[in-house]
Amino acid sequence: MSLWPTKKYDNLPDLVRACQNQDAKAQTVLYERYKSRLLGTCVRYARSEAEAEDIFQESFLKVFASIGEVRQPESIDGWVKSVVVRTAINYYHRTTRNELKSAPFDDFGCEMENDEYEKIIGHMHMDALLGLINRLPDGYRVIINLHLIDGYTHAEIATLLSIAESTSRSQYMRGRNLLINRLKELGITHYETY
Amino acid sequence: MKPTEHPLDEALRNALKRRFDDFEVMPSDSLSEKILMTKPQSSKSGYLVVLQIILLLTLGIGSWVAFKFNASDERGGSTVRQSTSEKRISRVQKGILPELPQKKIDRSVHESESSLHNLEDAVIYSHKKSNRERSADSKKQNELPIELVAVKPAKQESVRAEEIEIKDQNSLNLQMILRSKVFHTQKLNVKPVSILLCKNDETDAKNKRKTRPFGSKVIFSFTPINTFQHLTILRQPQLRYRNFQLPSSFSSQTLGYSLQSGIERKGFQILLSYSRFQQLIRYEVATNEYIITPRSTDSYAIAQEGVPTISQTTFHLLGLAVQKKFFLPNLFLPNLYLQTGASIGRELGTSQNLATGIIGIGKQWPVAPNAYLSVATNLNAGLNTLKTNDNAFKNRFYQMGVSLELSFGKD
Repeated sequence: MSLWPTKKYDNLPDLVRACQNQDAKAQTVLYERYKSRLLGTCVRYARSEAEAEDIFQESFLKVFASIGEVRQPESIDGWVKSVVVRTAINYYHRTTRNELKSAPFDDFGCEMENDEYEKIIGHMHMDALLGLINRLPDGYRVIINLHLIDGYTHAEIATLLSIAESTSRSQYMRGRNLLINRLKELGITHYETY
Repeated sequence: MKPTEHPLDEALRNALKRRFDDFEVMPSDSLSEKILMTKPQSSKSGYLVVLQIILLLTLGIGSWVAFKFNASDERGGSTVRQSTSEKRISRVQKGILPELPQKKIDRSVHESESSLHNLEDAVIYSHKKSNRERSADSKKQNELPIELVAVKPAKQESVRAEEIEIKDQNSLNLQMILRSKVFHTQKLNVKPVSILLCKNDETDAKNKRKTRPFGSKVIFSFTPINTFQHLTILRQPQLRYRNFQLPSSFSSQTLGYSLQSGIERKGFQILLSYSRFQQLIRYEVATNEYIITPRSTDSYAIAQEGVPTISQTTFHLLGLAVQKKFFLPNLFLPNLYLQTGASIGRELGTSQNLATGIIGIGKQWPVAPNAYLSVATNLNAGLNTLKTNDNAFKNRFYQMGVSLELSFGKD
C-alpha cells in the first residue's frame, strides 16, 4: 500500500538535496554513509577517543546545519571531510593552541632510508600507528595530519591555523622529525618481534 | 595536492596515506544515537506538529463551546417543545414533551402538515396539563406559561395563527411559528388557553441518558498501547548477526501511546490519530576475526568476536482511522459495544505507510449532559510491515491497548 511516493535516494546528489530539505531519513542515510570514515579522521586529529568523539559529534552537527550551503552536491565527499578537518582545527584552537606555542623545540635527525619508513608504517599495527600520531604534540599532530595525510599545502595550513606559512613549514619539519624518530624506535622493535 | 619537496616526505606520505585512506572507526551506538537525536529536525515535521496542536485545540475549544452552549440552553432558555415525528407525537401523548432548541423551531414547524396537527396536540396537551398540574409545574423553573388571550376563529373549525394573540411578548419565536399555520379549533373551545413552554425535565433527561448516543459527537481518546512484533531479519551484505536478545521472534516490546480525535455520527467514527512507540533490539554483529585456540586435546575452539549492537527505532505514526461501534443488547451491562475499524498511518521518520485493522470491546458511561466516557480494550493488527531506521529489520506489529475516550455532543 502506498499513499505517498516512497523516498529513494538513487544517487548522491539526490541524497544531498534531500538533506538540504532536512529530510530526516536522508540525514540518517548521510550519517550512515560517512560515520565510520569521518570518525577515523577525527581519531587521527584527536589526542584521545573521547576527544575524537567530541569532534565527530560537533562535525556532524555542522554538516547537518550547513549542508544547505553546498552548491555542488557531487562534491559532498570533499566538503564533509573539510568540515571535519575544520572542526578538528577549531577544537584544537579552542583547547590546545597555547600548548603549541609553548611546545618544546625538538630537532631529530633522519638516519634511515626512505623505503624503510614505508615498510615500518606498512607493518605497524593500526593502534600503534594511531598511538604514535596521537602522542605527538598538538601542533605537530595537526600539521602532520593536514600536510602528510590530508594533503593540504603549507599555504592552506597557514590560512587554516592563522599562522605564517614559514611557521607551518618549520612546525611540519619538527613534527616530521619527531615522528620519524619515534617510528624508527617502534619500527626496529616491531621488526624484531615480527 | 602539492608534491613534497623531499623524498622522505613523499615516502612518509605514501605510507601514511596507504594506511589511513580507508581507515574507518565505527562509532558507538550511543554516540550515533546522540548525534541523530540532536540533528536539526525537518521544518515540515515542525509544521506538522504545529498543525496537530492547532487541530486538537480547535476541536477541543469547539467541543467545549458546544458543550457549554447546550448546557446553558438547557438551564435558562425557554424552549418550545414541538412534535415533528410519530415518535414525538407518542411522547407528547405520554406526557413527555420533546425538547427542541429555539433555533430549530422554524425548521421543525415548517416541515409538513402533520406538524400542524402535532402542534395542535401539543397545545391541547399543554392546556390539559396546565389545568391538572399548574400549581406544581409553575414552581418548576423550566416551565414558562404563555397565555393565549384571544382566539378569533375565521371559520368554524379552524383558526389562523395570526388571529391568535399571545400575551408573552418574549415568545417571538412562538409567534413566528404560529403565524403561518392553520389550527383546527374543535378542541380549542376553552379560552384562554395556556401553553407551557417546557424545558428539560427529569424524566426527559433520564430517557435521554438511557438512549444510546447516536448523534454527532466530538471525540478525544488516549490509548496506552503495548506493541508486539513479528521480526524479520533483512539480509545485509557482509554482515552477520548473532546473539539476538529476544525470547523469540515474537516478543513484547516497549509501551507507547496513541492520541485520537475526531467525530462520531450514528456510531461511525472518523479519527485523526497519532501514535508513538519504540522497538528495541539487542544483538551482536559477528566480526570477521576468528581466534582458533588449540587445547590439550586435538579439538579446536573457535571464538568469534561480536560487536554488541542496539537497534532502536521510534515510530511516529500519523493517520486516519475509521471505526464503527455496535451497541450490544442490554443483557448484562448497558451501553456495551463492539468496535471494529481500520486505520492508515504514515510513519513520519522513515516515510513508510502502515495499515492497521482494529477490533475492540468497550463500555460507555454518561458523565455529564452531552458528555460520555468510554473505556475499551482494543487489538490492532498491522496489515503490512515497517522497517527499522537502519533497514536491518522488518516488523509486523500487533498492539493491545486500553483506550479512554471522551465524547461530547448531543444525542
